[in-house]
Amino acid sequence: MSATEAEQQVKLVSSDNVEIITERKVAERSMLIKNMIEDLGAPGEEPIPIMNVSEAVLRKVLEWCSHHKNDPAPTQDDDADSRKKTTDIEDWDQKFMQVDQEMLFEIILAANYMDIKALLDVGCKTVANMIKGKSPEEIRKTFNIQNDFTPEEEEQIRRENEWAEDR
Amino acid sequence: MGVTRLPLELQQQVFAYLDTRSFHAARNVCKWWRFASLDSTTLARQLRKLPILPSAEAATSAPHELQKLWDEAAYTLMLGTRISRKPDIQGVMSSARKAAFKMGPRVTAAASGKRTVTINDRTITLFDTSGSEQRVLMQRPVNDLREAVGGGPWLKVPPTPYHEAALSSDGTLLAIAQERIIQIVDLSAAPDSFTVNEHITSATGHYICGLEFEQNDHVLRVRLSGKGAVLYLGRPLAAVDSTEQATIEHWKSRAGLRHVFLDSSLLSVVTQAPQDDSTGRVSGLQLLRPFEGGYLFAAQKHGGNESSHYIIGHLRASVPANGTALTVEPRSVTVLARLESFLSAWNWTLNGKAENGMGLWENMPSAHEHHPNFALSPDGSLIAIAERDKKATRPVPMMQLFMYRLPNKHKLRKILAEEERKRDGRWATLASFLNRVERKRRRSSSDDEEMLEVGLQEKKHSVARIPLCLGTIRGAIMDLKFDAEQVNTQQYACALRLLATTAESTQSWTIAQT
Repeated sequence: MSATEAEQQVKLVSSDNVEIITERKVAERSMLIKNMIEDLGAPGEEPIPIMNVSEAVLRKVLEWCSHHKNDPAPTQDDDADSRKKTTDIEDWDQKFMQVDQEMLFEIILAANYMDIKALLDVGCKTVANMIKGKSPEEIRKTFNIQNDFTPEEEEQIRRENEWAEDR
Repeated sequence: MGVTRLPLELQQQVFAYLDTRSFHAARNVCKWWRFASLDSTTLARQLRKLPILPSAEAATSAPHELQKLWDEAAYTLMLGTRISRKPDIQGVMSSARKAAFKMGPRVTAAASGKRTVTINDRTITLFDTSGSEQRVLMQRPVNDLREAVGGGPWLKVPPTPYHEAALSSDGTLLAIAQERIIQIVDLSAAPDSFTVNEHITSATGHYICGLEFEQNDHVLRVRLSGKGAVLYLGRPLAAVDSTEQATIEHWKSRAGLRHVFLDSSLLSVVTQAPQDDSTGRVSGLQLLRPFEGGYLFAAQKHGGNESSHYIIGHLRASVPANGTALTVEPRSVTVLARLESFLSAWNWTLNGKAENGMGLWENMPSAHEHHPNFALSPDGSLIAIAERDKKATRPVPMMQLFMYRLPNKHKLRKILAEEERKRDGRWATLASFLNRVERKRRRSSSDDEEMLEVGLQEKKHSVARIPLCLGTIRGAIMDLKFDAEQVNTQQYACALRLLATTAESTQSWTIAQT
């Protein structure tokens, strides 16, 4: 990508039909957009529809992308286990993720849809950190989840915790 | 809501970042999370962090095998167990302490703290320490050579009067030991009443370095100086739930002080591996509760080509043909569960991820302390072990506490039946019979493929029994027990309390199953 290409502007359209103009380099943090631009061939002219992402979320995602636009592309061995070992999150990302839970989950979904691996990782790590060290009841409270186990299933879980009555 | 419901693969990606304890909690949050956790790759990834041999692979195990393995590992390693240290309680010993008694071998308090006895200058003094000020209840001379009441042997007179003493739970019986002589004194009787005296021949070559009344004062646990040897004198209660207290008459009888119920140095422990004949040695043995025609006990196991570790075992007790009272059969030891020490767990822990410090040196017992303390939880599913912390040299003794999960009692019964059959050379169960046939077939078969097939069928994962470390406390532990009462909290299904009493205070932990 030449310098001029990187500075090109691209037009994105959110699910609620709002046009957002951003740098091509920023937008191409998303593999979805990157592939689309390559397929369409003429960036900047056609608006690119981001069908599953609303304006607020898209702006948030692009904020992340523009902060990380100069990050090196992930290498292949980064991908597997070394990444999974730590749940440390950069300071900036941590602050970025201090949003309400609805937004957090929307960002994760958007990152998944737009194929932004690094952002997806940060999102999943954030959720994991919210789960860590809590009891099931505390987790339910944190995420406002209903305990939807039937009494029979509860009994089953209790038996699992006493492991192997019959073996 | 819907917000919290991530697509399956994203939920699993979140799980990938969790440690095993958090993953275990997350599985029990709701149906969707449970469903997401059942995936083989997800389970295998978590299982690989745990001390399991051989390590779990998603590719070679069926999903239900991995789920079973997870359940077993979560149970054994107490992934759902939460422990919180509670503020120290005024120790039960503290009432005696408040009265300015310095606890030691010559000052002993009953477990309730209401009675305290001192042996000083050849005089036994019993105090009522239940109130704010101590009150002298009785005094009597020590029945030594100078006093010589009734038949001997009598305790020696100074210059070397070093006594060990134990007070019965209600404070009416006092056991005094000096070298190899034990006397039991009835403190409720007149000061010149006869005592029960015995020269303990089983202690030959050792001296007595500790005494405790156990099982409603029906047996006396005698710790000997050599290699953690332990004697049990007296006859234990027949019924599990009997609350009958022993009297001096019990100790005078033929099944009293002169009866050796158990001598740990006579026990022989056969190691699991049948091909090597080396036997192990147990030390620091403590009876836990009656179980299946005998007793459950905890002890350390040394030798037998293995690193020292703790064990839970079973002993059969019977009335021998030439005897009168119940006695432990020395060859009836069955090891029911291995409780790993730092070294004995190496094969497993080097493989695991030492997550949350699991299996690390500072969080594991060494199993080299000769007289550890044990306590079994009321439901028998947990055992607490306290051993002297020798990992650092400190001016005061420090005790490190550990908690292990035990197989539940159905499982224990099964292991016991199986092991006893093996020992007797009978192969009565179908499983063991098939196993034997299989092994024979493997030996005779030269067909590689068949061998592989059999090998696959026999493949079984083993989860190391690694404890949770509760922490280190100051001072020697005088009493270690689980609270019989179950603590009810709204948050947890059930909770228990563990109490460790030192001369200074009682420290407590709440153990909750989420």
